[in-house]
Amino acid sequence: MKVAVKQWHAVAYWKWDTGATTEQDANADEDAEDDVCGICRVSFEGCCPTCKMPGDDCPLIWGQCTHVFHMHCLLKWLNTASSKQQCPMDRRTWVTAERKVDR
Amino acid sequence: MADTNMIPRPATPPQPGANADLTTTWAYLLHGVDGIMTRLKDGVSYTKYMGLYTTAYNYCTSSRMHGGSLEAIGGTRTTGANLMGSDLYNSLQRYFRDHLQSIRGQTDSLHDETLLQKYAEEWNRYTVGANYVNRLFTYLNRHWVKREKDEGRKNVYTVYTLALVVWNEEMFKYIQAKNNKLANAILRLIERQRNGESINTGLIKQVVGSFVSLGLDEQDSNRSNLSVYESAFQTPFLLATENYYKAESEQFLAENTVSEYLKKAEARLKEEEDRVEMYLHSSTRKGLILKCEDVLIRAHAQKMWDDFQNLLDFDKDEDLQRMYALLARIPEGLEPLRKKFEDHVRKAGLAAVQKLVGSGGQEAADQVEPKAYVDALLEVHRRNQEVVNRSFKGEAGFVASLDKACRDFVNTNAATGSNAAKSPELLARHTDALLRKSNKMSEEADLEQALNEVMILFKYLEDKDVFQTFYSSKLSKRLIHSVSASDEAEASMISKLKEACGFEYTNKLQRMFTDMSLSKDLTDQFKQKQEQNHGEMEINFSILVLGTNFWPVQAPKIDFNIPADILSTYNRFQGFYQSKHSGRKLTWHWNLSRNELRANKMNPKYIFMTSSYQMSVLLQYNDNDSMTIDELVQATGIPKDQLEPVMNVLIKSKVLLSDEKDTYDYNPNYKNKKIRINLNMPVKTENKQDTSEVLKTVDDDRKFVIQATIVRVMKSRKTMKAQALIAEVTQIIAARFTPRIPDIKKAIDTLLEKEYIERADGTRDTFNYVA
Ligand SMILES: [Zn+2]
Ligand SMILES: [Zn+2]
Ligand SMILES: [Zn+2]
Repeated sequence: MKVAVKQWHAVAYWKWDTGATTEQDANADEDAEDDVCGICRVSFEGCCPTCKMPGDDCPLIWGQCTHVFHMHCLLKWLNTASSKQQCPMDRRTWVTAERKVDR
Repeated sequence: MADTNMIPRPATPPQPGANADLTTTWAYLLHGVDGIMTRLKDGVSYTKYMGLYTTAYNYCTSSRMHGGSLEAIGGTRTTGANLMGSDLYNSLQRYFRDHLQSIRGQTDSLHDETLLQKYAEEWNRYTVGANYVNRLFTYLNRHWVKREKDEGRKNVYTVYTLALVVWNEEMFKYIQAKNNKLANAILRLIERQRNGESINTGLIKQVVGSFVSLGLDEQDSNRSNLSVYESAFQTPFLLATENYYKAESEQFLAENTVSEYLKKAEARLKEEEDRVEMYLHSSTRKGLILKCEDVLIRAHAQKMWDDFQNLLDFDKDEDLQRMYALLARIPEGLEPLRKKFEDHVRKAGLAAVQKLVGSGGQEAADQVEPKAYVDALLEVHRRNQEVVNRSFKGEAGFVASLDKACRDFVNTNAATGSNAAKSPELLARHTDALLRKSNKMSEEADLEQALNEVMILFKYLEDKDVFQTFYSSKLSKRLIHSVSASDEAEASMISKLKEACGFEYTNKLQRMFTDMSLSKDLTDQFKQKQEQNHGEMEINFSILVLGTNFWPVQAPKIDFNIPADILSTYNRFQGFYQSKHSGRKLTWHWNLSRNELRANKMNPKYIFMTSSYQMSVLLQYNDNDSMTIDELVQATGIPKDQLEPVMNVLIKSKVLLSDEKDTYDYNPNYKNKKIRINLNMPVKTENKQDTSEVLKTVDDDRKFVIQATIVRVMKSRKTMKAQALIAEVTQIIAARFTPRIPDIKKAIDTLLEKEYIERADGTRDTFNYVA
C-alpha cells in the first residue's frame, strides 16, 4: 500500500510527575485523594487557592517524607506558628527533597 | 338709556363738606355707589370718582375733628373712628342687600340656559361694579376693616368680599333654594353635551367660576376656598356623572362586544378629562376621573378579564393595548390579566414542544432535534415578548409573568418529561452546532444573533450546571478536532455566559483557550528547534497539550504501539517538553490524535485524513496485503473492541476489503473521485455515551459543590442546626442547580465521616465545624 505519514496532530495532557504510578491512579476514581494537595485539597494539576494559572507558576514541592504539596500551600503552612516546621500530613520535620527531573 | 321702565335717576346730591354727618355723607355716597353698580356703562368721571373717594375718606377720619382735644379722649380716640367706619360699612352692606333683593325676582321665571345667561350677566355686572366700589373705600378697608379683623371680629370683610358674601346670601341661595335650580341647569347642559349636542361651554365656565369665587374660608376671609363650588356643584355633578355612565355602560355592553366597549370607555375618559380642562375647576379632575374609572372600568372589569383570553388568542393587538391601558387605571385591574397571560404563554410553550414531539412518545421525545427544539421555544418567547412590549408597554408585572411561564415550559415539557437535564443538553447541543465550522451561517452577525437567542433560553434554565458540563464537553471537542467556526464567536459566547453567571462559571472554559494558545506556541518553538537541529521535518507535526483538570476528556488506558514512522518525532518532542517543563509528564491521547497519510504508490497519490488509530492500522499494510483482526490487535496495541469500529470505517470506505470474517485485505483497485479523503468520521454511538458521561460528571460535580458549600457555611457559622444548614446551602447553590435535600444530607454524612464537622454533644441535629 505504501502510505507515508505526512501530518500528525497530536493530543496529550500533562500532569505533575509525583512519582506515583499514573496507570493505577487513573483507575482510582473514588480514592483520588492521592492526586490532591493535602493542604488545599485541589488537585496538583490545578493551582493553589492564591494562584490563577496552574503550571510552572504554581509548582509542586516534594518532602523527604514523600509527601507532595503545592509549593505555595506548603510555604504558607510553614509560615504559621502551629506548623512547627513539620509536614502537615505526618508531623515529621519538613525537609524539602531534591527532585530529579529525569527518572 | 332708552329703557322706559327705569326709575328716573335721582338728582346728584351736592358733595358734602369735610365734617358732614352720616345722613348727608351717605346720601352723596349712595348715589355714586348705585351709579357704579347699576349704570357703569354710562361712565364715572374722574372728578366724580375723586369726590366720592374724598367723601368716604373724610367721613372715616372726621372723628378727630369731633373728638375735642387729643388729651381729653386719649385711649378712646379709636372708638370714634370705629363708629365712623362701622356707619359706612353697615350702610354699604344694606345697599348691596337692597340692590340684590330688588333684582333677583327677575330670575324667577327663568330656567336652564336662559337662567344661566341671566345669572352670568348679573354676576358680571355686579362683580365689576363691586370692584370699583371696593377701591373707592380703600381707606375703610385698610383701616377700619383691618383693625376689626385684627381684633378678631368675625363676619367683617373688605368691601369687595362683602359684596360677594351678600351675593351669596341674597342671590345665589335665593335661586338655589328652588330645588338647586342653578346647579341643575348646569347639569342638564352637561348632560346634553354628553349626549352629543353642542352647548355654550363658556356660559358654564362663568357660572361655575362664580361658585368658586363665593367660597370663603371661615377662619380667614381673605382666603377663598371651594366650599360653595363643591357643595352646590361638584357633589351633584359627580353623582350625575355616576348615574349617567352607569346607565350608559350597562346598556352599551348589552348591545356591543367588549372590544367596542373598550373604545367607548377610552373615549369617554378622554372626554371627561377635556371637560375639566374646558370649563370646570381643576380640583374636580381627580374625583371625576376616579368616579369614571369606577363606573366605566371597575364595574365591568370582570367582563374585560373574561374577554382577555379571546383577544390573546386572536392577536387583537389594539384591543389588548386598550384593555391594558384601561385596567392599568385601577389598582386591582392588571393582576388577573398577568395570571392569564402567564397561563397563556405556558400553554403555548408546552403546545409548541408537543407539536414537535408529536404522538411518538418517549422515543420521539429522545430524538428531538436540538435546533427544532430551540427554535420552537424561541418562537413562543419572541411572540409573547412582543405582546408584552407592544400591548402591555413592557410593564414589569407582565415581564415577570412571561419569565415565569418561560421558565416552566423551557425546563419541563413533552420533550423533557421528568428529565431536568434534557433542556440544558438540547440547548448546549444547539449551541455546539452553531459554533461549528459546519454551521451554515454566512454572516458573522447572524451567528451573533443566534448566540444571543441561546442566551434568552439559557436565562430560563434551572440546571445551569448541566448546560455548563455539556458545553464544556462540546467545546473541548470543537477545539481538539479544530472544527470551531471562529475564535471570535467562541470568545463572544464565553463572555455572554460569564456575564450571565460570573467568572466561576466560565473559568474552566477559558482555561481551555489558554491551553490552545500555549500549545500553539509550544508547537512553533518545537518546530523551530527541529529545523535548526535536523533540517526540515518529514512529518508536519503539531500538538495540543491539555491541562487535565479543565478538559473533560479521558485517555483510554491502552498500550498503544507507536508506529516506527512517527517514533522519532514522538521521542524528540518528549525530550523537548521535558527540557521545557521539568517535573511534568505527558500522557498521549492517541484516540484524539489525527494524521494525514499520502498513498505514494496509488495513482493519483490520494491523501487520507485519518485518526491515529486508522493510521496505525493502514501503516501495517505497507508490509502486508492481508491481516487478521488478531494480528492487527497485536501489531497496533489497540484492544479488539476499540479496533473493530475503526476497521468498519476502513471497510466501508473501501480502503480495505474484508471477504472473509476477521480478515482484512489491502484494496489495490481503490478509486475515489476526490484526492483528499476524510476517513476520520466520528462514530455514531458517541451522543448517547456523551450524555451519560456528562450526567455522571454533573453528578460528581454536584456532590463536590454541595460538600464544599457546607464546609464554607460551617466554617463561618461554626455551629448550626441541620435545618438551617440545609436551607442556607440550598439557597447558595440555587443559582447553579436545585439541590435535592437527600443529597445534602448525604453530603453532611460524608463530612461527618471525614471529620470536617461533628455532632454537637448530646444532639442529633446540631453540627460543629472542626477546625
Ligand atoms: Zn495546595
Ligand atoms: Zn500557587
Ligand atoms: Zn510528610
